[in-house]
Amino acid sequence: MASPGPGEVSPASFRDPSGFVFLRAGRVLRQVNKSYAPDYDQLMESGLYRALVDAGRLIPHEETDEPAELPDECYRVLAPEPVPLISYPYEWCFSQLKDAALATLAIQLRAMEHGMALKDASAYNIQFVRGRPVMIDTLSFERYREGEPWVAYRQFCQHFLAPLALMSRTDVRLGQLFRVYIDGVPLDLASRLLPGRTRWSLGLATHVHLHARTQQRYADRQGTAKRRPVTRLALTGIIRSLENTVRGLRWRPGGTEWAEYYDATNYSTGAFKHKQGLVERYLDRVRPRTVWDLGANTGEFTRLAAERGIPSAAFDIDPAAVEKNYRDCRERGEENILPLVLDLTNPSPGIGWENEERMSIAQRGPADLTMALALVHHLAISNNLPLSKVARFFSHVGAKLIVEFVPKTDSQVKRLLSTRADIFPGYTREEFERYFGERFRILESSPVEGSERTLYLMERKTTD
Amino acid sequence: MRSHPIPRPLLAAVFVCLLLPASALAYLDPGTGSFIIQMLIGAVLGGLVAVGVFWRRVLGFFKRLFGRGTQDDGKPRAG
Repeated sequence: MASPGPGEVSPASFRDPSGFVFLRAGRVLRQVNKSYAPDYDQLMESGLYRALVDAGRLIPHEETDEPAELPDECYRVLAPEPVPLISYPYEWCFSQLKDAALATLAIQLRAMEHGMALKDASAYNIQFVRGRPVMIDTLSFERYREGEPWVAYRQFCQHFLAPLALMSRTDVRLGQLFRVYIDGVPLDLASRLLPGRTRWSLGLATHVHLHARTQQRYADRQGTAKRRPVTRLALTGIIRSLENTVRGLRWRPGGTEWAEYYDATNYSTGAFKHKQGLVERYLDRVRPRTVWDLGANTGEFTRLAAERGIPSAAFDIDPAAVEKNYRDCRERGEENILPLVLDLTNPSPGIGWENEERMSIAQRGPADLTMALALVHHLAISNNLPLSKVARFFSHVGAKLIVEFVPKTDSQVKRLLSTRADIFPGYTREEFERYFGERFRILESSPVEGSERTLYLMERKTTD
Repeated sequence: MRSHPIPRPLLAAVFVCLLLPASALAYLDPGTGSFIIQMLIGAVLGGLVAVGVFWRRVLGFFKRLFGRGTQDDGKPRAG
């Protein structure tokens, strides 16, 4: 008997008997099991793999000579192209989820042209690589059997259609339901939460409301209907209908135009320009490999890193800011920015089986450099976070740090304090430097001209 | 009243079995209701695709007839 390899099987890779992902010496590898060999061969030999990779829809891989992790079951070991930062659907804005949905359907249609079909339609199988949604699960394809319904139809509706419909027609914040329901939003719940008028939309009436009722009807009695084949034409009709329904879903913040929304929230001063110059100088000094911009808003400062070819994530709590950022990236073809929705006071936890199936945000780091511009006062004053805790969090998520201190005399901080008692005697520049100095070495600090703010470049001392 | 040649429980079991084999092939539970709804809506939605294809052919025929033919299937690609 061959012994298992010295790698570590990914905690997210256990459902599909076709194979699994494992990590060995810092490399992500995928074992294809013998049971999946006929499907894998068809993927590679039918031209589907090449067509999808050329279209930027499927992650490319190489077949390697790496030893298998479970040799008795192994057919091939694949080395997929690495994904710079794994993200999850509850961190995506509306348009990211919509583009991921359309990519999944386009892949299914292309697969059918090559005699294959998707056997799952999990949103977690899609990742954003160079700004575009890409299927990362090479083992998601199976040979298409004429007359069979789409086995992934329910999963598609739960992972994509229901959350998109809820975000579009009820409230964009319902995208967060994904954090509670790891296998997508239950359709009966979506059906109850959607406004009644969605029953007049053919697509939503069919794929959400009727689908939910059919599921309920057949949930406890295994079905009394005769099995009829779902022809290729019928299946194409279902996929096209899903595609049209998804395309018809739109979202705008507060029903306003984008320009109006952002005119009201953006600021533009000489200080802003000077701050940009300082950030560029700091970036050029330390040349980070990866950047996480926390509280990035629409990503103006993230772009300074991305334009230098650095893979950068732009996190913000506001789904509208992330949406705007993503749309801008898409329009300009910016490949190095990944905008993501994240509440820093309650960041993505580890979820799923044993809390390990989907990683917490901290597990996906640390970044080489974290940026926290105009952020610390929100954490310290709006959220009552002691500066020591803020410094500790930053030391966990990034090796280097560009951070801005905004004093109480700044108009933005005055605004935060205008409606509440000032219980923050320790919120001073001296205390900020003391607490951050415990965790970081201050490499450089510069006043931001035209303001009372200070920008710092720091390097982590400890990683406790 | 004529008695049924096959007992009803047996008939029901046969129907259930007819529904199950496809489920057994999938590693995900596709859900009985999610299979049945595809049987219900597939014919209509497939019909719409067929009508669409036919309609584009008719339009294409007339466009060619009047010399304004364009070779584009008009399908926007996602992404």
